[in-house]
Amino acid sequence: MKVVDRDDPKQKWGSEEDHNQSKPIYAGESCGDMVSWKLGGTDTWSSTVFTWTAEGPGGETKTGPTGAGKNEWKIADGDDDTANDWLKWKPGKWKIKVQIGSAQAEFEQEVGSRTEQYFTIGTIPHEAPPTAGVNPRIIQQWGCEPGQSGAPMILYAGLYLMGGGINNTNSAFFVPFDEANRVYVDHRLLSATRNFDPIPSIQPEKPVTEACGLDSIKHYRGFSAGQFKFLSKDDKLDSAPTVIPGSQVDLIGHTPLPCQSDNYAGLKGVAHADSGKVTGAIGDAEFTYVTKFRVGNEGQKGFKTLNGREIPWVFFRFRFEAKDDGLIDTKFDDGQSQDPNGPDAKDFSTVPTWLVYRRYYDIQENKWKVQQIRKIDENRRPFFSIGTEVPGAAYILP
Amino acid sequence: MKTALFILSAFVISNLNAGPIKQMATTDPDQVFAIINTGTYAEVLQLVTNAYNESKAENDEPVTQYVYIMALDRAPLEKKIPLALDFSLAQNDLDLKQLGARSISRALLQGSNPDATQRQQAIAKLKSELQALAGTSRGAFEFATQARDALAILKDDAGLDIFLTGSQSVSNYRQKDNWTPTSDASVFAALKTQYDQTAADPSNANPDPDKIMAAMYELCRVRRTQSKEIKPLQPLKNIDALLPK
Repeated sequence: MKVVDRDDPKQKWGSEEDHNQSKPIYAGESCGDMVSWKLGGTDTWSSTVFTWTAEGPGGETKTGPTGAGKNEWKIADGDDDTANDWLKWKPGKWKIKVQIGSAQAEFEQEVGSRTEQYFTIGTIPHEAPPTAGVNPRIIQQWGCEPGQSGAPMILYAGLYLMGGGINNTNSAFFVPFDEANRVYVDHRLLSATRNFDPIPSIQPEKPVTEACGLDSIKHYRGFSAGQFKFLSKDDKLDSAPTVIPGSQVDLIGHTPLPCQSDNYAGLKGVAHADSGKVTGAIGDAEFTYVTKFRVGNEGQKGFKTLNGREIPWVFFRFRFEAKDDGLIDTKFDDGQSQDPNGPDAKDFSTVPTWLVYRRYYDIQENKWKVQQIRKIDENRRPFFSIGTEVPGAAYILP
Repeated sequence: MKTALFILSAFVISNLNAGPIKQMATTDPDQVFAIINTGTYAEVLQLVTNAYNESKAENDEPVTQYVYIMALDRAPLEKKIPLALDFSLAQNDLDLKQLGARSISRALLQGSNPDATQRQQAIAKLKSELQALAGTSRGAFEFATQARDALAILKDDAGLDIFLTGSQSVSNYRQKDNWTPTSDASVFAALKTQYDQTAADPSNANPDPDKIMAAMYELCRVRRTQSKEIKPLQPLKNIDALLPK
């Protein structure tokens, strides 16, 4: 038996190696192993008719080659059958059967699942804040227009925010204790530190360890990627998922300084202890991988001063079911979580905007490609109000 | 400006524990911005150094942290490389070192034109920091990639040598751009031109990576004119080996 291990999806037939049949091989949507089963000592049996079939979990069957001298079942690139260039079978234990004339042989082959490589980008786009009921002084002070020194006014305001001056009624930078003004400032703090749209800058040929060419200040607050393989039995995990080498990163980006034209510098966010962890054990119906982070301590302090609440964590959960094809099973249609310390039953927070991509190698075209799976637009307003209230705060945003 | 520096110094000397930079930033931000925008290099360097020390002394105090990052960000272009050399790369803090290396490459890409001495200083500092990197960590990897890019833009072969240790990227670029370690110099000259043109395209929303690849291919061209192969020769750091397994 020979196999092309497609942990490296660029590998093609020609780099095959001998494989111990008692060890699993892995199926996948774009990255399944290439495999050849061959009956030893039968190369000269050119007039003998061989008929190959396979029977898998749930009674699923596959039909292999049939004919005189067909002593090998090869699922690989480089032949006429371009629809079957690698293994895409359901994970579980398969029986490979071969009829040799009137005799029959069969053996067991365990097939695991190799997921596609996915990544998510958490990014903050510019969004115009609601201005109804907002004091014109606040609009001016939290804008990008230059103040006395030439620095954008919002930089002054930011210093008063962190120093607590915005809650001092005698301060020139006092922010009225009402929802309209406070929410306006919340919006401005996000919009003035917006990321550039990452989509045009994704470079599929750059590995996820380099965030596909994206910049941690310019393009994202968080970038997380993973690809895994696992064994399955009766639609449940039969092994803990393992990470494909070089495919998992959990990168925390920066909050750019406000009003920059090019996002030159920023303040690094912080990861939650659960971020980057894979959960899932034998017997589970699925496994998950979570990214979870928030702004650094300066932003946490500012948020608390402004809203009288702890800043919520933001998060995205990748889900993969044990029963099928290694494609992502995150519950995109269940909506955004309102849990400030999620995920709960829902898989992603209301902020930031989440872009979810599949990165794969097109073996026909010999190039890396990405495919957008989902774009989940941020919903800022709940984010401002779901954090835990800070006892004794000067103002608590409803 | 001298007045502002005097006030800043007086604050520092008279009452370090009270957080003089924090006090100045939260009661009279104009002083901070005046130093950043119109202060001498020595004044800006003193501001960021004092703000950094004050922040660290108070467990990464946020206001002062904001001040030194803001100063590094808003300092005039001609001060960015000296600040990277004298401050960011001089701290024992991988995040700041990363910002320093990034600052050098971005300043150069934005048109900063340091003299030969400053170029050599930047190259020497980046190389010495790379050599001093110990262990494996995401921070070490990110600093090394930023330093790699800065060295390449500074036209130093060490940047290319580190780039060539990134096995996934190199393999992908070889395939995408169709070259081998012994391709003719003209192949790399053509690739440099191609990436320069892509970077100059007004519709290119993110030209910096293309400018960096143009710099890498120019270094490849130079190597091939010297009959050296495009493979790691004496890399200061191996990018692949810096990531935790």
